[in-house]
Amino acid sequence: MRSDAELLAAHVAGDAHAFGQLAERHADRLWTLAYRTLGNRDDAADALQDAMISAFRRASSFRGGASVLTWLHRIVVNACLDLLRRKKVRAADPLPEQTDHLAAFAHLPDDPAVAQELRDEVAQALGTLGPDQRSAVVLVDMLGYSVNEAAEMLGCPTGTVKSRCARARAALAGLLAPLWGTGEHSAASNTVNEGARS
Amino acid sequence: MNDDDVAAILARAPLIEMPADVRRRLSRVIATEVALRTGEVAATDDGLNHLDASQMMTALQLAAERDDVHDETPESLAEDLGAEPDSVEIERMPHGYDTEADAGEVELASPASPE
Repeated sequence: MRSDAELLAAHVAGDAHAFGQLAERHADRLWTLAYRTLGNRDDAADALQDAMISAFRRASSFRGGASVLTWLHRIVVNACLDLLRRKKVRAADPLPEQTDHLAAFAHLPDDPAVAQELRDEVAQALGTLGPDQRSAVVLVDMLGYSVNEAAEMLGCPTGTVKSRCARARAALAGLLAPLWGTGEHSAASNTVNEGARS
Repeated sequence: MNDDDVAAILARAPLIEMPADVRRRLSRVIATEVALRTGEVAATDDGLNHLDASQMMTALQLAAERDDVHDETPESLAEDLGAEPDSVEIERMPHGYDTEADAGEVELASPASPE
């Protein structure tokens, strides 16, 4: 299987299928990033389309300073933030979570009621954050990237990512408190430990 | 409840599967980009066999956003897209049209079928 870098290089060299394979490989991660950052499905789809077109056309400008995945994430984040600026909305209106792809939540509790509560509470809580804090906390806490990786994706210093995450978590603490102490504590901690957060 | 507790809760809903319609839409966009880049509207394999009318329209819209659209004529655009010349119309926007493209709109007079 070709690596991300090999696929991107093949795309630049004229391979008509390479970019599609690259996009498909990371589709769910990129979708999660866009959806969690923007808070609604239509905007996420629009931003992701813009991002993919941009990545397709700018592939030759990739210099390999970061990983291809980091580069793709950065383009998606920028597309999301651009869309928010264009629409001049805070994207703070939390919409109901998608209900047609529940199988993707592999780490959710077995109890459907608890799982639904978690999804709803998290979505609503994220919706209260501004886009900068939200994108930082989505990358680090939800997608498991390191602060350094998130800083590269967001194009800002690591200290900025840390402070955005800290402020976001402080803001979310009160909103997510009802989810704490419901017997999910140890499972949640395990999930974090399995991630790449550091 | 501290920072790590919040992070733990957030980490419990890690990935959302891309919906099938969004996946199809992106595939179509990428296919269109490929077709535009190669100058081939009709590719030969892997689901790109022929652009349908919707894809053709997307291709035309994308073409209209290209920087060189000012130099495009219906004939040149049709040639790029592999469509019949009389199936493409370019409607120029008035001077000062406020878009990034500032270029115009391209309309498909009748759905072109590469077949």
